[in-house]
Order: sequence, then structure tokens, then C-alpha cells
Amino acid sequence: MRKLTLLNLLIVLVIALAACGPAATPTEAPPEEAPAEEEEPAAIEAEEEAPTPVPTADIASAKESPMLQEMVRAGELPPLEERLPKDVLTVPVVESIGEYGGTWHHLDDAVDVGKMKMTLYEPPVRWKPDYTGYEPGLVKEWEFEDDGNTLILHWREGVKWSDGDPFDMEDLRFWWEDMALNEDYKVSTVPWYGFNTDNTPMTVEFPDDYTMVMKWDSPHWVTPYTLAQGFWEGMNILKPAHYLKEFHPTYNSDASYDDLELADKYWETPGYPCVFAWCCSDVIPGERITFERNPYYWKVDPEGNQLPYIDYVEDDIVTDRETRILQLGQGKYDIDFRGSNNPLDIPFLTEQAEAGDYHLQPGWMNGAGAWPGWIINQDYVPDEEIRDLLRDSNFRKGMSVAMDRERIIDVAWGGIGTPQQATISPQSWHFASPEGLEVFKAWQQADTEYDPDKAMEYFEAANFTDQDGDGWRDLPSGKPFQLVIDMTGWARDEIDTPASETLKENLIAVGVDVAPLNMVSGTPESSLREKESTFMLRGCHASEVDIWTYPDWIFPLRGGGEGSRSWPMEGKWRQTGGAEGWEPEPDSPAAKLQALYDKGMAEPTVEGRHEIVWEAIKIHMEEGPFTLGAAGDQPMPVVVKNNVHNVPEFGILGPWAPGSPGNTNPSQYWIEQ
Amino acid sequence: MITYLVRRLGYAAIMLVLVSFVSFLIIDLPPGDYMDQKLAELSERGDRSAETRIEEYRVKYGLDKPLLTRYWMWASKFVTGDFGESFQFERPVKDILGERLQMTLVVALFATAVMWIVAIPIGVYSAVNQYSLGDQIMTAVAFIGMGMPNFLLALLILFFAVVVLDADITGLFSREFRDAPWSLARVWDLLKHLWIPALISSITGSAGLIRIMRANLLDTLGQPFVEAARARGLKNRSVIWKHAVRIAINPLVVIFGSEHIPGIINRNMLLAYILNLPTIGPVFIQALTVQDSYMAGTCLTFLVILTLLGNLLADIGLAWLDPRIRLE
Amino acid sequence: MDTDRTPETSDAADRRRSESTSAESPEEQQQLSQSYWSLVWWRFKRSKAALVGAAIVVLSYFIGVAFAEFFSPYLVNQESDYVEARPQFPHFMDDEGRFHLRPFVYGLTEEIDQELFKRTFVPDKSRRYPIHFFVRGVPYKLLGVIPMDIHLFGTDPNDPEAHIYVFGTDGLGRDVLSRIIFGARLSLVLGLAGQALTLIFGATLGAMSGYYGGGVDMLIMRVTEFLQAFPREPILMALAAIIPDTWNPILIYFGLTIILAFVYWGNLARQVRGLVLSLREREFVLAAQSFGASDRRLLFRHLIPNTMSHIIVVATTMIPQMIQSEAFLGFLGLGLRPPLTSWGVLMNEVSNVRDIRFHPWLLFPVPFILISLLGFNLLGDGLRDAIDPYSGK
Repeated sequence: MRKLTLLNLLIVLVIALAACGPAATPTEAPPEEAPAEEEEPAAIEAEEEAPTPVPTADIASAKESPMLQEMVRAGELPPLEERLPKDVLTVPVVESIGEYGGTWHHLDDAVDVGKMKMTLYEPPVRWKPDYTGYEPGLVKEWEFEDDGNTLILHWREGVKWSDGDPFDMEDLRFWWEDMALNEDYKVSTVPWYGFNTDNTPMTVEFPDDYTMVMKWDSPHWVTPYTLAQGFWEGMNILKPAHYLKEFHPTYNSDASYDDLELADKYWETPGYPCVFAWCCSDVIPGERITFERNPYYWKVDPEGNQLPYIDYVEDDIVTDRETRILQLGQGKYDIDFRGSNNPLDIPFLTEQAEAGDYHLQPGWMNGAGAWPGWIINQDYVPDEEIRDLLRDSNFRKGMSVAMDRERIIDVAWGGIGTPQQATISPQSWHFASPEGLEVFKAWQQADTEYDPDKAMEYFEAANFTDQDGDGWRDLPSGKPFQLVIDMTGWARDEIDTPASETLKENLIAVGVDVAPLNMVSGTPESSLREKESTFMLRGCHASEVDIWTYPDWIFPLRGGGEGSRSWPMEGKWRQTGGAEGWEPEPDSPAAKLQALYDKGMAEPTVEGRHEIVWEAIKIHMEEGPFTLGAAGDQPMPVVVKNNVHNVPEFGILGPWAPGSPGNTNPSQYWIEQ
Repeated sequence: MITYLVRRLGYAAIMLVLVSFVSFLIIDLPPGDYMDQKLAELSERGDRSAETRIEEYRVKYGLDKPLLTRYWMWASKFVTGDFGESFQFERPVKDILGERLQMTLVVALFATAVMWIVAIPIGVYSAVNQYSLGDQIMTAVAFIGMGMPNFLLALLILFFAVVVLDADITGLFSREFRDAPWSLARVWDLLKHLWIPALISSITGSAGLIRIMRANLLDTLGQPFVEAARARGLKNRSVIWKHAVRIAINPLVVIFGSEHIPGIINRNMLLAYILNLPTIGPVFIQALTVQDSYMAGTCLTFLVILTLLGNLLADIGLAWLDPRIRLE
Repeated sequence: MDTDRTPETSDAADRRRSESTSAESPEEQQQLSQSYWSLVWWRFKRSKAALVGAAIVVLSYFIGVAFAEFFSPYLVNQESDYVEARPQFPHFMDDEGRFHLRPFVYGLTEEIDQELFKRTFVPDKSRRYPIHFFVRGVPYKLLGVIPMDIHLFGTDPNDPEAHIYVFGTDGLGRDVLSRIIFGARLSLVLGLAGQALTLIFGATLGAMSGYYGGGVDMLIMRVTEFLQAFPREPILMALAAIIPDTWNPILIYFGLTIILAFVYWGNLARQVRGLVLSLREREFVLAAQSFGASDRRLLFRHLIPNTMSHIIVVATTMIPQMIQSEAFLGFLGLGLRPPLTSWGVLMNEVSNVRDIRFHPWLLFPVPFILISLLGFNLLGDGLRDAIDPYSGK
């Protein structure tokens, strides 16, 4: 009886996963990129999201919130037609046209209010709310020339900063020349996609007030999408020049770069001009940040009402996790996405929902491909024989089938979850098509059966047997071997520790000597810097929605800290241009994957790039696994008060790259008064 | 007296330097530094530009320089009133502490007052009726209070308050009163929020006071002069309160000085952290946890200043109260 | 925890104390040594509280430290499939009203709450597991040496399905009661070891300080002042954070002991110093000196033993502080960590909303901790009352 009910749940979950995968939502009639690319592979145009923008004439009949009407009447603000841009963006609403008013009480966990940032930002290019691809943001269209070496961005015309100053290329030029390229100002640098193959910075030109041309010496088909990742890529380049010039030593001899740095904190500086729906109006450090509506916001709803609907956002900072959960249970916050961040809190929050007058929004998932997972090091430095064993796919497959995933789900997830191999996010747009879905499913199920006998067969095939009769398997040469599983700060919590303990027991049961769990001190990055390639297995949480913008989970391109996964040394070789690290041997997985990445970067079509990902995944399946996974995606607790509308019923919160919930158009959320 | 003061202050100054240096050292000892944590956070989100920025921050804060240099930089500025900058908040430490000072004092005062008001009478009762049922029960309750770690108690009471009572637990004010000007209503709102930390604090804190009061009073009651007073026909109550307690309470002056003055910051740190009170405690704990060196170092130094000050005041107070004691 | 300081924290107070205890000379004490200790015992017996305290302490060490394996039905890290299971309380009367001489527990069965999306294990009235006493169970080594497999209680050894989790299980299916008992072992021994180290260190240095006076005294006193200037909890946190996670658990345990001793020895040293100061001028000391006794002999054969009674009192009252410090650190995730199991670790594991709401049986360690701390405090209090001739009426 026990197994049956669990099985039912699993089936439901798998179906739910497959169903809420990348399906187009009914509100869209998308002219997608695919047809356009097949016709004209040389110049890729982004298409505007339907419905089409409101023509200028209609702006005169657009409506604004009562709060702003007051200010216009009092003469404090110019009228709406003058505030909206020529290229106004129309945002479809999820449920209904909203009412103006209200305050959104929001919850954050740290002083740098990362969670608020994920909601408010406005990137040049954005993830679509259904995660099927990208759509224009502040950039209304873009095209490539020179076989992808040149990217031309056409920005929206007529957008104004929240203080009325026009937004144009002067702002971007100021960023590029006076901040990024400026060697004296250390905080803003040339972004990582802004380099040529010889490590010189790209060229950026501004032929007119709303056009930006970026030139490299190699194709950069993916760069527009890079600009859509998280809130940081886009926001790092959008600076209000008119405001910051006052603090910049080049324009104001009394100012210093320290002043500039202090002034440049647009999230935390009241009155800093911004292009978001709400701009910072008050800060109580460490406690609360208040945002108020941006009168110059450049979006309207389908009926022409200027967004946002909600007047104010109050972001409380509560550092203690348990306190946050208790408060969410009390219904103190109107819409919250990451206050808990842990599926294990769902029962408690569900129970309190009635008393707190909220509901948990269905359809929000973590987007995990491996939760928990373990990276297997392919470039183990201290011992060559161990390295060879780790590289032997028989050994890795043996470990994979020795793992009792059901038990891990039992102890880590309270029995609720889907066993699977480590993948990237199920909702990734690479798996949107039927063919992609097939690839994903195969990857998900690769080597996931629980079969200790088969594990032992694999180990025999790897020459990994007990030669000295002490009960533990030894290296092929006869040397004794002990496997060490690292738990870094990345992965050490109530989910990963019991999971790793169970994996350890499973491996011991098939004769592998496993050391007590190794808690690696410090954070993953510091520990990686010191002993980056001396780990054997390292606990992790894998998720990624667009592998071309953040390739590390599939392609070994970096090593030595950030971005390091299964091939630290070979990744480092690639990252340092051959100066450090190990060159991948010909025909090794690392070499093949790096070559595929290069092929992908040179491939102009989105579909073509999806196919290259599938090829890469096949390598991971056949020669892998390179990352072990026990379980995958989980639902996430999203608290929405019962009087709130227009929050969609689908979203991914695990990877920050898609920038959720910001990409679901928070400006059209509304609160019933 | 003057020489005593001068000497004590001199010692205190030397002690301060030593302690602040050692504190710095200890805070810095765990491997890695704050920037590593920041980097981990940023890259966990996929921010690929993080690494370069972090390196620049390191240079800016001097985290790449050796400990002594950093300490000297900070210490030399400390005496001028510049306590350095907090990595987390990216603002001057002075500002952050200054903003929280008022509420820290309010909470500390309130909690301490409650503690003493509860503890003294109970302690006296316990001593006077030594071994009685009441004494034994009080003793047991007091020990439970002392034994229970106050964070667990806090979590349990919090849970109860929220889930059962639906109380507004965190912070010191309800939403409506947060920015309002001072009024009677606002004071009442403050009291409504203070009762939880005061309750938790007094349960765990008064226990110790009760025991000490009891022990001291027992000591004092055993003295010959008490017998003499009784023999002279003074009422028992007068003997106890006007004579014995006044003597017995003296050592508590030491407690007040040595523990409650530094306790302004120190006491209930963890509690304030859990309840998200706008006091210095939570900021201090957070700083210690993430290695926000200047913030943690400054808080520790102030704590030590308060401790040394408290000790000095306690000794002076004691000497003043009890003529048998001579300072030297 | 930190108000438990006797009023001995400054020079002036030290003086006063040494003056007040000098009334009864050690000479007299030694002459009456037989009757002194029986006097102490008599006074000790008078307080029921003190007796209770003593009983608790002795029982705690007996059950938790010495014979934990015998008293626990399961091992400390023994996992099972019954994850986060409710307590199985023993019954004598079953549902049909029948009385059983041998108590039993109901079996556990899995139940999924569809609404709350949560899996629990609840009693299954259809299965009964009688409780057997002095039963064969998981093998172990008594006191680490003698191989045995008898446990105080358990289920029928012939029934592999039977299980008895009196206080329920935790997230890995481990028996809470067993973990409490084994947790006692680590916590109590840590408290004792830490205290022993503190004692050795503190008493010796304190005595030396009091005896030699002068430069030695100055130095040692300055050092203790220096150490005591540090606020205790932050320093514990900071020091515990230094212990690398990468050390193996035993090393971490020792490291923690040393840290605790390091933080606490100052107080003890001061008190011993005060006592030695008062004893130093006694005739018996002068007599021993005129007999050519070396300093060391004096210190260790005469002075320290005479302060022993006070030291014991202080020591007893400091053990609970150490246990609490460990719990405090454990709560913050510093100090002892899994797979080591101490009371601090157990409390850390339960300190979250989800467990308190859905698995409140994980809070069972709390009354045990409180009772044992209570025991120590009562014992210490009783000893102090008994030893100090001038207390009370």
C-alpha cells in the first residue's frame, strides 16, 4: 500500500512536469523566432510580443492611476501623453484588468535585497513569462550583421527616467566609456561577453540616439539573451548618466570615484532615477526599503492603462529564516516567491493558509535538474590512478545504479519527489519541442535503476575489485581506495546531508570504502580556489534554463573557482587560453564538449543551437554520468494573498538566470482594495 | 581614589587595545573572508561578472593586506570616531550602530528592569523560607529557566505566539506605528511588542539573579548582627528588608556592573536576532557569522569597553556601599 | 547562563571573600576532618533538593554515559524506513478493552496527507508489538569492552518487523529516545572533561597566583582579567568558527573542550586565588615550611586540598554552563556536528518551524536537558550550603 500511493504521486508529478513544461499559454499568439530564422538566417530579427504596441495617437486616451492624476492636476507632473514613450510596450494581463492602488508588502532575506531585485528589474531583453524564449524589453528589436560579429540593438524611443530625463544612448555611452572602460573606476568593468578573442574589449558605437552597435571579431549570437539573464546583466549597463555625472570626477572635479560608487546604488538610494515600475523612495538600512510608482513607466495594459497597478512596494528585511516562515504563515506579506525557498515548508504554509487569508500559488517549481546531486571530478589532481578510475564510465555508472534514490527521497524530501539522473531544468527551452523532450526524458532516466548487482558488474568491468580481501574494493593496481564525498557550503543543508549519508551507505553496501562526509570549510569558491581539483565527489544543486548563457553544467569552459564543475583543470585550460590547466586529450569528453560549444556559439539559429545541446547531452548520457543526481524538480511555496490577482500559475524559482518573478510582469499584478 | 581611578583607566586602555587586536585576529581566523561569501552568493545566482567585482572590493577594503596593517588602519581611525565600513551594508559602521542605539537601550532597560523586579522579591522569599516548599519550587523553576537555552525558548514562545495567539511578533512596532511620531498610542504599541523579548529574557535571566540573591541573603542572614537586631526586638520584616537585604544586595551591584552594562549589547543577542529587533545584537551576530570584520570588531570593542566600564563602576559602587572594602 | 557568577569578579570582592572564610582554620578543619565531612554530609542530607540533585546527576551519568547502549533500544545513528514517525507510547489496554500484562506498542504505518502534501507514520492499531525486557537486540560493547546484546527493553527479537520508537523518530528514521540517551553521553562527558581541564588549569594557576603573590600573581591576574574582558558568547562563537569543518569529529570534540576550558578557567582561578590568599598565612603552612616542605609540596599537598571543597562547589555549578555553551554553539551550527550526537546537536536539529509544528516529539530532549541541568544546579547548591558553615539559620 505504501509503494502504491507514492507511485501515484510520482506519476502525477511526472505528468505535471511534462504538462507544465514549455507549452505556449493561451494568451499569446506568438510570431516566434523559428519561422523567421528559417527564412532569413543572416539577419535575425526579434519580433514584438503581440498585441502590437499602442500607436501614438492612442496614448492620448491612455489612463493613469489616481495618485498620478492628482500630481498632474497639481502641476507636479506633465500629463500622461508626455510621459509615455513613442514605443510604449503593451503587457498582456494574466487574469483581468486591474484596479489601481495598494501596497505590496514584500519579504527579503538580506541587506542587498536580492529577492526584490529579481522582481523589479527591467532588462534590455527579457525571458518570456512562459520561459519558451526571449522577448524584447527596453530593447525593441535587434539584428546581426557580419555573420554574427556585429549586434545592433534598437532601443525603445521616448522612454524617460523616473525623474523625467530622457533615456537614450548618452546613458549607455556614459556607462561604456566613463565607467566600464575606465580603468580608474574598478567597480564597473567590461562585461564578460564584451571581449574579443584576443581579450581586447569589443567596440561599441552609437550611430543615433536609440541605436547601439556592438562589434566583435567573432560571432556572438547569444549575447542578446545574455542581457536577459538575472537582473545583473541588464542592470549593470543601464545607468542614468544625467544623475551620475555629478559624482563622476571627469564631469565634476570635486567628486571622487568613491562618491560615484556610493551614488550608484540605485536599489538603495532614494530618488535614484530608474526605469522600473517602482523606484526607491525610502530606505531604513537593514530593515526596510520602500519603492513607489514610477510616473514615467513605459508600459501599459491592453486597455491602455499605464502600469503598474500597485502604488507602493514595501520590502521588509528579515534575516532569520524561521521568523520569515512564521510571518508568511500569518499572511503578513501580499506576494512572496522566495521567502521560504524550501519545498519542505509547503505543509506548514498550506496549513496556515486559511487563517492567513492566502493561498499557495500552484505551478511554481524550482526548476531543479538535480536536487540533490554530486559532481564527479574528472580531473582529480593528487593521484593519477584515482583520476583514471573517476574517468572510467563503468565506475561512474556503477555508482549511479548503486544509489537508492527512493530512500534518498524518503529521507531528504519526506518521501515526495521523482527519482532521476542529474540534468538541467526540465522547463528548459531546449526541451520544448517533442524531440527535445525525448532527449530530456532519456537523460533523466539514464542509469537510474536501483540495481546493486548491476553496480557490482560495472565495477568488475572497471577492474575495481577487492584484491586484498579486506572487504573493500581497491584500485586496479591493488592500492586501497577510499572515496571522499565533499559537502560544501553550497550544498550542506537538511536536504543534502541526509542524501549524502544515504549515498554513502549505498556505496558501502556494494563494497566501496567511503570516508565520513567531508565538510569543506569556507564557501565553495574559496574552497575551490584552494583545492579545486582535489575533490572526488562534491554535493550540488543543478539547474539551468538556457545553457548557452550559462554553459557550465554541460560545457567545461571554466575552472578554478566560479563555474567549475566536472572538469576543473580542462575548464581552466580553456578559460586561461591555454596558460594554465590541462589540455583536453583528443576525443575525450571534455574536448568533444568544448568543440560542441564552439560550434554552438557559431550557430546562428536557435533551433540549430538546441540540436547542438542535444548532441552534448548525448555525450553526457553515453560517457557519463558526470554529475550524479538523486531527485529532481520540486514545487516551491509561493504565497499569494487571496485579494491579489494576475500572478501567473507557472514559474521557475531555482535558477536565478531566468530572472523570475521579474519576467512574469509584476507590473500587472494588482491588489483588490 | 584618584590614583586608583587613573590606574584602572590606564589598565583599561591597555586591555582595550589588546582585546580589540585579539578579537580582530579571532574574527579573521576562519579560512576565507566576507568576500568569498559574497562571491558564492552572486555566482550561485549565475552572476558571471561577480569575480572581477569581488576582487576590486577586496582591494578597496584592504582584505588583501596582512592582518596587522588592517588592524592598524582600523584602530587608528577608531579613535577618531571612524569605525570603518560594514561589508554587508556598505555603509559606515558608525551610522548603523548609531541608528540602532536608541532601541537597544530601550529594550535593554526594559528587560533588565523586569528581570530585577521579578528576581529580587523571589530571591528574598526563597532565602527567608529556605528549604520550604515554595523555595524548592522556586529553585526548580529558576533552574529550568537557567537551563533552557534561550534561543529554543524563544522559538517555542514565538511559535506559540504566532500560531496560537496570532501576535505580531517581529520588530518593535506594528506597521502603522513604524514611522509615526511619538505618541501614547505608539508607546503602547511598543510595549505590546516588548512583552515577548522581556518575557523570554526574564525567564532565562532572572533565574541567575534569584539564586544569587538567595545565596547572598542566606549568607547575610547567618551573620551575628541579624541575630542582634532581632534580639533588640526589630520586626522580622524590617530586619530582612531594611538591614539584611541592603547588605546582601551589594554584591549584586557587581553583577549589575559586570554583566548588565555590557549586557546592553550582549544579553539577548540571539533573541533579538530571531525576533528581528532593530537593536545592535542581530547586526553583531550577523557580522560575526559572515566575517564582516570591521562591524564585528567594532561591536566587540564596544562590548569590551562596556565590560571594563561596568567592572570599574561595580567596584567603585561596591566600595562606596560597603565600607569594609578598600580599593587599592 | 551568564548571571551565574558568584560575586567574585573584582579585586575588592576577592578580598572580602578571603576575609570572611578565614574564621575556621584549616588546622581545626583537619583535626575535625572526620566529623567535618560527616557534618557536611548531614547538612547535605537535610536538603531534599540537594539529594534529588545528586540522584539525578548520578543517574544521568549511569544511564547516559556508562550504559547508554544497554538502556537504549537502538544505536545512536541507526536509520530505519520509519522516517519522522510518531511516538509509539506503550499501552496496557488495547482498543477492545482487553488488558495485557505485558505492555505493547502499536505498529506504524505510512499515511500521506494529500491536502498538506506531507507523509507521516501513524499508529496502526491492527499490529501490536509486545515490549520485551532484558531482550536481545542490536549487539554492542558494554563500556567499550564487553560484547553484549541485551537491552533494557525492546521488541520481540524473533520478529524482524517489530519496532519500538517510544519518542518517535527523526528525519532519518532514528529513534529519538536512543539519541537522547547517547546525546547525554557526549554532552555530559564534554561538560565533565571541560570542567576537569578547567579545574586543573584554573586551580593550579589560581593557587600559584595566591601563594607566590608578587609578579606571578600580577601576571596571572592580568591574564584572567584580559580573558574575562571578552564577552563570552561572541568569543565562543568566534573560537568555534575557527575549528575547521574538515577535522574529524573526535578532534572537533577535543577542540571544543579546550575552547570551553579556555573561556571558563579565569573565574575559577580567581576564586582559588582568593582562598589560597587566606590560607597562606596560616600556621600549618608556616609549620610545613619550617619543616622544609617545597613550594610544590605545599601547593599540592596542603593548600589545594584545603580549597577542594569550594572548588568542587564551583565546579559543579559550572558544568551546566558548559553544557549550555555546547548547546548554544550547536544551535548555531558551530562546535559539535553530525554524525556526533550531543544534546546541542539534537536541539539544533529541531530548531525550525516545520519540525516544531509537525514533529514536536523531536523536542523530547528538552525536558531531559533541563532535568539534568537542574540536577547539577541542585547538587552544587546543596554542596555549597553544606560546606559553608555560615549559611542559613
